[in-house]
Amino acid sequence: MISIIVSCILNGLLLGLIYSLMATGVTFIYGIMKVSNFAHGEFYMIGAYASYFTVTLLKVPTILTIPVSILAGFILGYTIERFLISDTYKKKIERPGEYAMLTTLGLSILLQNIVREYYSPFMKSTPPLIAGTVPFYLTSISLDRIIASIISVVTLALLYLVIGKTKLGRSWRAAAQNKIGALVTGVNIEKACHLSYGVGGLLAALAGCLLAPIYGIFPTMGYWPLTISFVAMTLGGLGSLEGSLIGGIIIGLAHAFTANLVGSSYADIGMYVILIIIILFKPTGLFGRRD
Amino acid sequence: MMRPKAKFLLPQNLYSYYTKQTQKTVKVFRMNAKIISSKTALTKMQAIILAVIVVVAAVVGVAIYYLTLPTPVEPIKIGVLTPLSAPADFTAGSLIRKTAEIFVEYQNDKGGVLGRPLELVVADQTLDAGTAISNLVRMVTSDKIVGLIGPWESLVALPVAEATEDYPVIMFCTFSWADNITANKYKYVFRLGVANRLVSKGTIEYVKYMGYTRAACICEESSYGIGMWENMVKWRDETYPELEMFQILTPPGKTDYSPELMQIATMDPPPDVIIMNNNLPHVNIMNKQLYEMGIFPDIPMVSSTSHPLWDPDSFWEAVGEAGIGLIFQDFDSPFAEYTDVGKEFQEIWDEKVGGVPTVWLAWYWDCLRILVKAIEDTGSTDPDVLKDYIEDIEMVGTTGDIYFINDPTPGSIFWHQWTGFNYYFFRLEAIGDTTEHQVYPPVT
Repeated sequence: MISIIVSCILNGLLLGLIYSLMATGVTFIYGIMKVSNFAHGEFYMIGAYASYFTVTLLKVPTILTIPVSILAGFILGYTIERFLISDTYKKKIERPGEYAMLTTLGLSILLQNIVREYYSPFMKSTPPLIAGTVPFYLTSISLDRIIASIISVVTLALLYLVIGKTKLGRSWRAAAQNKIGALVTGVNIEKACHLSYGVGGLLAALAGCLLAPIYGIFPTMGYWPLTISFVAMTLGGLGSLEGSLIGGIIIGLAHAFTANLVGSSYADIGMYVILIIIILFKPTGLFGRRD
Repeated sequence: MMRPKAKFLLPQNLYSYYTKQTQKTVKVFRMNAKIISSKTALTKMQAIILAVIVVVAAVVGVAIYYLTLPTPVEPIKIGVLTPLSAPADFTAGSLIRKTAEIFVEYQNDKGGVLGRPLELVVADQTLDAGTAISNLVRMVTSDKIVGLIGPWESLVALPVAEATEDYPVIMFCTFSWADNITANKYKYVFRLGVANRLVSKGTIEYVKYMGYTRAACICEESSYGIGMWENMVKWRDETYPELEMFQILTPPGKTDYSPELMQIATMDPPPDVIIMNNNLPHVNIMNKQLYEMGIFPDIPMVSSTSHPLWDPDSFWEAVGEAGIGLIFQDFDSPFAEYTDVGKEFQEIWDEKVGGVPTVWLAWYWDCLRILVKAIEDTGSTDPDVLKDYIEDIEMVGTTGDIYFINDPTPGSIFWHQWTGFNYYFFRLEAIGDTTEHQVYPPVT
């Protein structure tokens, strides 16, 4: 029994860090703009496909495709915000939240089907970032998972630095707190929002690129990261980056323990039960704040 | 004697002179005409009789003309209701349609059926049961088809099979696996192919052959995965009770199955074999993750489906080295011997399309042959007559003998079900492999 518990903790922690990596982009966008990005899974998918095409066409190692993926994610995010989402804070529409949700949901379906129709419904994969596995208690673990987990933590740390120490970060914080107030004090709200959506896309695409060698690449690959991201974000507190990290880890541990101690068919139920319990006692999530 | 002096007329007199002369001539002509008319004119009655005779003669003439023309022969129509557009499997559908077209051409070259030519009526099955059923209704009521092939995905094939109860027509399925297609005992529906229950039989047969006694069964949480599990348990109880089976349910749609798969690593003693009942792409994801976790290939793994063959390039691209050692099940083998009928079909296919047809196309060819034989032998296109005949049919098919089991026990899938196909298991031993290494039945 002890061996099962130890392997659950190790597996759950590692899985949790990967889930956090998936959730960072959607949390970041929500934190700045207060809109839900339902196309987050497709930003993740685009990052993975960008990596795949670069590997296939240029015959380069997967690790060198990271800049291409994040650039693709950034451009996609920036463009979508510029042309589809920016109306939500320009007071041009009556219900900006619903508008953003439906727009991104439609975009998600559109992008999935474009890839399925015009490329292939079959699963692809990129070569490992670094080939090899290391013994991991009862099983082994690929070096790719370890790299993804480390990058997850490093990315969060970098984001904290950017948000806390740079001018751009200050404009994001100002936009997140009060858009009109920020506008009055000279912050270029439009630019801050364009860039925040672009960075959200970049983070999702980075996750897609890093996890493609582990999970494969296919048109509907974004469904699970989207689900996990929203659960982690809600659990950790809407818009809270540290919340998405802790939320991801809690989900990872819940999955590992429920699947192994209760039954694999209850793995997802465990995640949702924990979410419901936390929301019941702290409706804003673990690190969330009331507006 | 003096000649009379010439009379010179002035122009106005000349005009009046000629006018008078003309009037005289007309008068004489009219008088003559009147005399002639009084001698030859028809009475009114005679004219009517004459008109009737002319009309009757014309009608009789036209009738004789058309009656002496060769009579147009009413064709016998066969329906092909199959996926022809995305998101349904239009690749399979277009191959089924091609098979039917080749068959119709082949049969018509042989003189058709009962001296009548065969004709196809083709419609798109789509992935929407409502659309498929409305197409079926049109084919049965308006086009008057006498047989139907082609329904593919079970989620559409099953409702279409149900609809044949109200719109009677002989319907054949091959690769629609849902047990209920036959278990529901539809009057006119026959399956010349595979059912979930029979697929799981093959897996247990292989596990028994290998002597494995502990099996970890990864099952997708869907009607397919759970259905496969239930059927494997039934076959285990009937044929190999020594086998211990452990169920690991996996929700479809996830991308990280490591928590679920870790159960295999913590099993004590470890299983002898892992059986996967999952669909693409998740079967590939699990394959990769089992390899990454060091569980596979130390523990052999068997897939219930032939997914490595669906798109071999994509399969190997997706799983890479993790695919080496995988064992999978199929119903056709390059080592299998086709019958003479099968060889003829393969030759025709190669000539018309090129390459080797898949086994289920050979089975569709058989379905069409069954239908034609039934019509020829009964001399009827009535679905009830044909159904009675087909239930007891015995003939040589492309891959073996054709017969149908008709067990009326409620819930039994062996109703209008053919069981003559074979199970083959292949092992992938190098990247790029497909069916090079048959492990069961052993190749002699």
